[in-house]
Amino acid sequence: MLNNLMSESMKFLANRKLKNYRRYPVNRTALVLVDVQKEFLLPEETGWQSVSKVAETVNLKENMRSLITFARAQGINIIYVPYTGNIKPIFEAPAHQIMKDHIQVGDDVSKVVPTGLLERSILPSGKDTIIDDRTGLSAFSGSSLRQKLQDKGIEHLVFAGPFINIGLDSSIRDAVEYGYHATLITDCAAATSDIEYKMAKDVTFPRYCQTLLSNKSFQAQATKQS
Amino acid sequence: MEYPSKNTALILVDPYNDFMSPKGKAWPLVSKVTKQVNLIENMQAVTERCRDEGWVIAYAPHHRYKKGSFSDRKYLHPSQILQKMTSSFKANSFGSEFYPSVSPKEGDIISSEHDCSSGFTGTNLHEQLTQKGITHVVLAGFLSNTCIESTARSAIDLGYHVTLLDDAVSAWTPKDHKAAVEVNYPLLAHHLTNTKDFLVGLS
Repeated sequence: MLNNLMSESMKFLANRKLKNYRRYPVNRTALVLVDVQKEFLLPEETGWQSVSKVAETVNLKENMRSLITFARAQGINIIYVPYTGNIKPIFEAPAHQIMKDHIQVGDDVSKVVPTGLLERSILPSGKDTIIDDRTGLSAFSGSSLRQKLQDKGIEHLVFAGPFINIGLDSSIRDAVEYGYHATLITDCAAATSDIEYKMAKDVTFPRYCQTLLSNKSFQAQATKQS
Repeated sequence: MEYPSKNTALILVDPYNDFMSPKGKAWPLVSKVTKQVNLIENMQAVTERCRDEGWVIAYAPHHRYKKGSFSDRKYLHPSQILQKMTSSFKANSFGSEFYPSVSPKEGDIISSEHDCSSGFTGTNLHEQLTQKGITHVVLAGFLSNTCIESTARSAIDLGYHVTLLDDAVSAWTPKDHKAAVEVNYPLLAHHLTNTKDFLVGLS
């Protein structure tokens, strides 16, 4: 009881400071789409089937479409970081196995990123960046992502993707460590089970991710400032 | 689970008095789970046994707070905000000393301090482990869902084989601990076990 009270008090005090970070100037903000690729978004794919229960509950695809469309309209940088055959761990963890099970192709990144089968609004456009050299669960692992963000002067990273406690978790932990302001769009994320999604969103993420917002709240916040 | 003894390290994350001593600043926050899982005795048993096995023992210490800490950072990690507010792990204080029964001995690796959560990010831990040919790591310490899980996630992305012990880690609340050890660790660990089975496995 006392322990929970102390824990909630600490969280409250930290959040008071963190609220000041919630600014999204378009030239310093990037939407980072981790594992947003056809394997995890098309109904006939096993990857989609693995997250579909949670994804349908949070309305993942509708929200993802809305978020990407909004980011494009605002001029926010959009960066896709797919899970590709380039990720070949020496020691395969269960999380690697889950991802690998649903990846149909080898090293050819062009086949892994969203294809014409996906809706136009979710497809990368010519202006978007695709990071195809990631080597681990985190979007930053072994990849050129950090350099690209530095080159563009990005400070605020807004994250979305189908695996809240796999790719998103590892990526957001790294983002905060590297000094970025990280925002998770909670209804643009899913998991393979309700408990994974709920525990990540309600318990684990608030300990290290500075901002958690719904898609609607994020758009309202970003619009207000533009 | 068989470990290559010359290539395996036990990494103790943040085994500071502030977490482990009843006089520590963070003890009131972590004492509930720490007692529930019998963490201190488990950490001691694991550390002693790994020393007997001739494994490398590595320490991944948290940033020791001093005036001006994090002044170079524009966006702080939530834990940094709390560290600034509470001055926990204050440099040159009782709280930032290693807890006596699991303190380093000659020849152990002591990594440079981590500023946020992962024992690897921005530190020389990977370099020191690599120099000793370490391929397998076993993690113990604080906190289950922050520094331990972040260190595990970094270790996985750096290519290590990672063992997690669900009762040699602790967190602020039972829910935090559960979210880590019951929900995320099974996805991350190459080997997830408890102290008793780990020790039996080494026999």
